Amino acid sequence: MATLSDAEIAPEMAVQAENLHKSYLMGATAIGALRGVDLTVRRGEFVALMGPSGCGKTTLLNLIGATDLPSRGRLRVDGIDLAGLTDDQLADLRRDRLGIVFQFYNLIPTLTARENVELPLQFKGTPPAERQRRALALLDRVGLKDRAEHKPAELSGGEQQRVSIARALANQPALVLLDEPTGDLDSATGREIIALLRDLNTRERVTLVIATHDASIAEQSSRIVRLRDGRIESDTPTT
Amino acid sequence: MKASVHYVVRNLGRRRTRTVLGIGGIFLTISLLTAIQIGLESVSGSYTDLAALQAGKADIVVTAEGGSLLKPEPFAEADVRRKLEGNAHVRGVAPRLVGVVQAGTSAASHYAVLIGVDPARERELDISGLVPEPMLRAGTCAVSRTLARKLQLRTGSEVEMKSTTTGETLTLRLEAILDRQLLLPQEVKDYAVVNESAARTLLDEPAMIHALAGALRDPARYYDARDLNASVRQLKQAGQAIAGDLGVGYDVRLPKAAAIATFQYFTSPIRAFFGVFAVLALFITALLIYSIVSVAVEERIREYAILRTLGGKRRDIIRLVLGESLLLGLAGVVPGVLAGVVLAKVGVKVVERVMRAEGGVIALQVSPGTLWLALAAGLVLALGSALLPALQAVRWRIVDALDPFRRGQIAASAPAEGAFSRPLLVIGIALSTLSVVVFFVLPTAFLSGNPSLIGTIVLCLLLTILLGFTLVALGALPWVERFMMAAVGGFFGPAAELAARNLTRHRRRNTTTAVMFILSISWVIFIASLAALFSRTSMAMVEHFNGADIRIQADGSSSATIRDDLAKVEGAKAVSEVKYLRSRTQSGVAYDVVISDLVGLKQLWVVPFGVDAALPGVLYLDRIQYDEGGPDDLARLAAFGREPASAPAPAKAIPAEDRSAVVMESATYAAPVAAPPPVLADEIAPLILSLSVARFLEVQRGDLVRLSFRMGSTRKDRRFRVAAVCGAVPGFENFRGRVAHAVGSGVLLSAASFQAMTEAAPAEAMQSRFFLKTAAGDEAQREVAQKIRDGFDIRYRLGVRSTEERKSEARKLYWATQVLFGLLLVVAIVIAVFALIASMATAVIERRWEVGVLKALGLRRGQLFRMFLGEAVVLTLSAGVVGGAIGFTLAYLFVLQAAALIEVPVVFTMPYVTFFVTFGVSLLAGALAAHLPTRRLLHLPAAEILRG
Repeated sequence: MATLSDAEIAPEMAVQAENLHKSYLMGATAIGALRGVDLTVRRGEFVALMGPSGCGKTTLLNLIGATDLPSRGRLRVDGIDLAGLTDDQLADLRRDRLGIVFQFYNLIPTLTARENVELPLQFKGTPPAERQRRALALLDRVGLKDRAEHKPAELSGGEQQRVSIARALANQPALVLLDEPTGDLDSATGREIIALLRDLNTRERVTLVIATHDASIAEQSSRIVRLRDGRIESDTPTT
Repeated sequence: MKASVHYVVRNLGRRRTRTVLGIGGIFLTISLLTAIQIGLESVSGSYTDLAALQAGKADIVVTAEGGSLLKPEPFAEADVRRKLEGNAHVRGVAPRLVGVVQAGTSAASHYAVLIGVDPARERELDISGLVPEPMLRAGTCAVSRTLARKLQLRTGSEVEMKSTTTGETLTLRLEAILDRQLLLPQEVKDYAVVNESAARTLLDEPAMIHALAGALRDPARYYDARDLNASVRQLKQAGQAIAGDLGVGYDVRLPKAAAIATFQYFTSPIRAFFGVFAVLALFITALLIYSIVSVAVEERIREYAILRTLGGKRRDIIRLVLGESLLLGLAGVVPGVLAGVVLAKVGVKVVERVMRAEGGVIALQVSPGTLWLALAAGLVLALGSALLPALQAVRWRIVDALDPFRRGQIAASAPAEGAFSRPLLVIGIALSTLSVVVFFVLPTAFLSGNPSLIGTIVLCLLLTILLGFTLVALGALPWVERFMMAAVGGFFGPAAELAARNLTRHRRRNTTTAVMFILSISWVIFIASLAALFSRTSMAMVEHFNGADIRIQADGSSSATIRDDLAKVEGAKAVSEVKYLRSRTQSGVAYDVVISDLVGLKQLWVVPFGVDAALPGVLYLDRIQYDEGGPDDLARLAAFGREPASAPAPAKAIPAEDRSAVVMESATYAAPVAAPPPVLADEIAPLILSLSVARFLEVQRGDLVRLSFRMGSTRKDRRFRVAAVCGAVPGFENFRGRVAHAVGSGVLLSAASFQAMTEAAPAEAMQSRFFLKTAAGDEAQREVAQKIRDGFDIRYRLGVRSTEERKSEARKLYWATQVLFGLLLVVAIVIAVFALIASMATAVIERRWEVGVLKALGLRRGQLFRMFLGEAVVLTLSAGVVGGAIGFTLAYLFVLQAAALIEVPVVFTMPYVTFFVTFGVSLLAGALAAHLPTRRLLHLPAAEILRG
């Protein structure tokens, strides 16, 4: 399989993965979660990763999200080769170029919605006033401005996920990764979230990669990548 | 930044119990340590005044050589003044006269010590120390409150002072009743103070004086509260310079320097002890903070991972954890330091109130240095203990940290080949450092005899032993736990098996908890054992020193009738008189007694005592430590020669080997003219040796030794048979065991033998000591002592010591020590319990999902609680038992060494009550540690627990 050369790095590519492998040690046994995945995601694309449980969706998102490192293969995110980056450089990458949305929201329970959104800005060193202005703007964007000073426990599941999306957008990332964002929500709320994501993608050209079991969500995407046993089974654009 | 602070503050807020435990632990430790440090500094700062309480206010006291307190040698004041004129150290001197007078009214009369002073000069030099300060104009006097009570005197009354030498009487108006004097030893209770002129008349001393009390120029040069050793050194140098200027014929004493040296002797071990306690308390508190922060970190591993997915770097997370600990520390340290100051203030006030009765004032000295040190110590403690958990907070990969199930499945990585083992390194360095300190300081300490250094060495060694034992205990802990589980597992039902498995599974964290518990419990037991030992030893020491119910140290030889007079005192059942020799008579003749083996290879200067037949009946016989021989030998020795034979012993009665038993070797020895010595029976007189002498001479019971009594050129030798060898004899301080103490050791002879050997000695060379047995009961003892003080010549009144009175004083000291120790122990235990709760909280958090699963599988709430209870109780009981064993062993070793060092027979007794209380506290702590962290979780439905 050909390897990516610098000449092949296209500036319009948000993700370029080549022959990605990832295996875990479960006790003494090595489990191959990804077994040679090649994937490119263009800027502004809305890609849905689908497949049965254990097919490697979350593992692939973890690798793209720089929260885990591949066992083998090369991966570029927003043009940056992740191999050889230090821990701090990976943290900077996550902060400046990536937004991550989890199934269970993962908001910090002791902070308000606004403070949760402010966190990535704070890590970037944005001045407090600017931070607050942008956090409120983002909460307004996801329809939660009036809930800004509420803590996660005081918000519904859908509201928490909206806060989580606002937080993911805080530093205007090149790519937003979503792992089963509607998995813990009822279908109506799930639809609202997907509408919001679709809106972000079409209006603001936010690149989205979403891992989901839900076919109705996948239908909203521009492309569906199906995985099975750690490999890409199909990669088809939606109509 | 603001959000970070919010995050940290809210994190502390959301786990209130743990936060309160952490803050409470730091608060307790810092407040107590600050209070003790400030208290010690305040006492040290006021030490000059405290020293003056016992020693008097004068810096120097000059007397003529050869005098004693009540029989001072007169000297010319002008001579001393002339010699000290150019001395740079002396600011000035004031004359004093001391003697005995009969003070009385028409109704009553009592002997009293008379002190004659120049009041104006004493005030000018600030050395008088009379409270209240009298003017002592002509025709006036001041008397002690005790004397005033006896004579029923009031201010303005007329007092008749009668000279004991000339019989001349002066009638003086009582100007003041004195609460306190700092001119003579505090034992002097019946005293009168007059001006110099009246004293000269009453003591028949028209031109000479008895003492010159002086003050030093610029006292701040000599007294340095921060360095008592240096103070004593400086004062000694000044004293030597003064003695040098005075030349021969004068004694220079530095009463305050002596008191300071004694003060330091007592406070140094306390400081060393405090140092070790501070280290242990800080260590246990550090473990507590470590546990609490570890719990918080374990709980928030997922949160930290989220922060990292949002771009937070590892160092950001570390900062957050350290920030939380710092805040926790600040919340405990700041009020802790303030509370410490308040506590010290209260403590000092209490001590001052007690001391004020004695005339003492302690100023609270809060130095900024101490406060900063306490603050810094607390904050360093908070940061240092949180460092490891902070590193643990970022040890997981983000994906693993986000998923608790994955975390549970990832095995701990094996140490890389060639990597160092941190625990081994730390333990090795700690042991080596302690050993090196001991190695280098030990010889210096023992050569110097500095109690502070020796105390530090002993404590260092104890710490090393404690460390070693703790490591051994940690190694053996699994077996102890298994044993405990087998013993108490039945109470926990089916949950016992789960609890046992969990104990094994969480060995590392349990080890931290066990270390805290073992250290706390062992320290508690150790201190309790020592406190009990001090109590028993102080009582034993009183009995050892006093020897009998009442001991009277007579100044000078006894009058012929005193023994009979004492026997007539109501309540006195038996009286024994012991005679011994002054080493130097008042006229300057030296009296030496040398003991040697028969061939004179080894010789030793000793102090012989002539004991009468009544001695075995009055002495605390159970306090005698016989190395060889027994009570019968003492009885035979005491009765030896009581009924002397009427004729010299026939030669045929002397056994062949003893024929030369009585040998007159001195050519200059003058046969007695009057009072012929009792003729002894034809057997060799017995003696009882101090063990140290027996060891030095290498003699045993039954062997013969030679005693040589020498006074000037007169010498008298005789052979004696060793009847017994004693390591300790109550009432006779110089019976010791170590060869190093052999010089000056005691030797007991019968009164007849003593008289025979000292017949040429002048009366002034003799001293007497009386031992009295009183009717049973403490009150009877006190009454007899009081009657003797009231009714006898002042020579006997001064030296009356009743065992019960001494014990009562010792008890007061014991209780004060107990309170201090108690406070320290409570803190140690409370912190350990806090730490245990924090540790159990970690276990509960870690196993939250597991609890959910177990609940879903049908385990009841009660069974789940019993599972945690089983873990906590078995852990605390095991650590308690092991800690107790270590504490007992340490205390036993300490007692063994202490007994060898102080040479007082002390017996180690297990402090059972403390042990069982500690055992109970361990159980309660275990129950509390199981209840607090689980109380909410166990009430939640399984699904909610599993949802996280």
